[in-house]
Amino acid sequence: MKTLRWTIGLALLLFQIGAILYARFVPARYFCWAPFDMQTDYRIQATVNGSKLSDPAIQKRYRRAAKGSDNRSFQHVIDIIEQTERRYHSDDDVDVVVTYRINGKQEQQWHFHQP
Amino acid sequence: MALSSALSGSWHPLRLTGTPMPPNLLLLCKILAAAILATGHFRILPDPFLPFIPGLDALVAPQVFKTTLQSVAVLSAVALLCNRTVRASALVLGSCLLVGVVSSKAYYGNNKTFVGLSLVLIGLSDFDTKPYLFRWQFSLVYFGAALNKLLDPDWQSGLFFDYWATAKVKNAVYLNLAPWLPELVLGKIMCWGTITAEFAVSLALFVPRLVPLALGLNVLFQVGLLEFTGNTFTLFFYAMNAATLAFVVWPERLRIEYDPGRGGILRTVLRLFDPDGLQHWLPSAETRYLTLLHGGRAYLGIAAVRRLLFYSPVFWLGATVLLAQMPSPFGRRVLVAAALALALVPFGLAGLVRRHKPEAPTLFS
Repeated sequence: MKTLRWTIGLALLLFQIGAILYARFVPARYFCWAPFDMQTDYRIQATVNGSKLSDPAIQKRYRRAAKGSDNRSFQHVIDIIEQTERRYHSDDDVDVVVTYRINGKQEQQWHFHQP
Repeated sequence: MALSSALSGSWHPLRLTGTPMPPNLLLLCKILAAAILATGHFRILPDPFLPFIPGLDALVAPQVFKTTLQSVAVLSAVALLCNRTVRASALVLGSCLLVGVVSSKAYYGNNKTFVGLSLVLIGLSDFDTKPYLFRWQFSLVYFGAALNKLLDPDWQSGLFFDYWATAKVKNAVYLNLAPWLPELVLGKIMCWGTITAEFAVSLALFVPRLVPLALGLNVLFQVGLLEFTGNTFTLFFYAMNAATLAFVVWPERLRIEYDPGRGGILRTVLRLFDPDGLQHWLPSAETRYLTLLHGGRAYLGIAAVRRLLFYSPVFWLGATVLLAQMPSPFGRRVLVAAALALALVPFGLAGLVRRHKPEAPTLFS
């Protein structure tokens, strides 16, 4: 039982060390202890099947406020929008524009279109 | 009546003895359980949404998943607080948070992951030796945080802190100080200070004689964050401060000599903070108010009171619940500042501690 406990514990720690190394090669920062390392102000605008989504509809669809701040890697917001559409609304005709600014720097835009 | 007698025995939520788990680790787990309950965090345990583990969102109906997760979390937190099957309760409560984290990208967060891992790793630890798994986890959190900042250009330039402090937190001290210095210099100082502190804590935790320094730096760093923002960062403040307890040697007995005349009221009050009966009070004509003899040292007056509170689950759990109930950033700042002031009273300068026996104190291991 002791061996099993230690094996599980060490596996959890090794997974995190792997995540810390992996984070050096990708923009996302999952399970690698990077809290509050980035401040991103963003605004999500989405059109689904020709209709523009209201702010509450955006909140409901992506479980994120339509306008707000994020304190982790901005890739996490992009992942949520992209994966929500692909996993839960793959039949919808979707256009998403996210306007964002990282740490107060120049404004940028990210676009997503499906199909 | 039945409830009252149950709570006075082994079920007493403020007691730490009588379980297989060492008192310091049990207190750490109880602080996390109390924070989860008192902040209402269990209510935001999620239904599956874009899980990290594929298929978690197809197991059962989302509402069933969410209700089950929340119910199990509350039951295991209560069991932990009431000293029931403490290892299993810590494992289950920690697992609830980790299942929440891996089942929902909307719920994912560093603080929840740390609390979940803390409870699970303590649950997996050997109770007859130091909790190495948890200690390595604590160090890893600081190492990962420091490394990510070190390699981020906005942290290297000070831009992150400058933007965060001025546009987001709008901290009055920073806003007034920054214009006196060249552009981004204060931001750079804060960014590099943070990176240095995080690396220092991470590494010093592995050097026995530097452990007290690392723990002190950890507490000051977390208190500084709360004072700067007024925010506990969900469960992070509770968990990072409670982590200190994993390094504390918990006493089996605290011998206190007191003046029955002047120290009587203090004795009555301080015994309320001692549900485990660690305190042994002995009347003495030679002491003024009270003297605590512990770890080879004698603590007088306020220094003794401070140390008795440090070894009191009533103090730690009471402070946790009080902080969780503070409705405003101002209230949280005042409460934490008061606790820090109590911890930093310069008793050494006032000659309130003297060497009692030749051996070195064993406060941390």
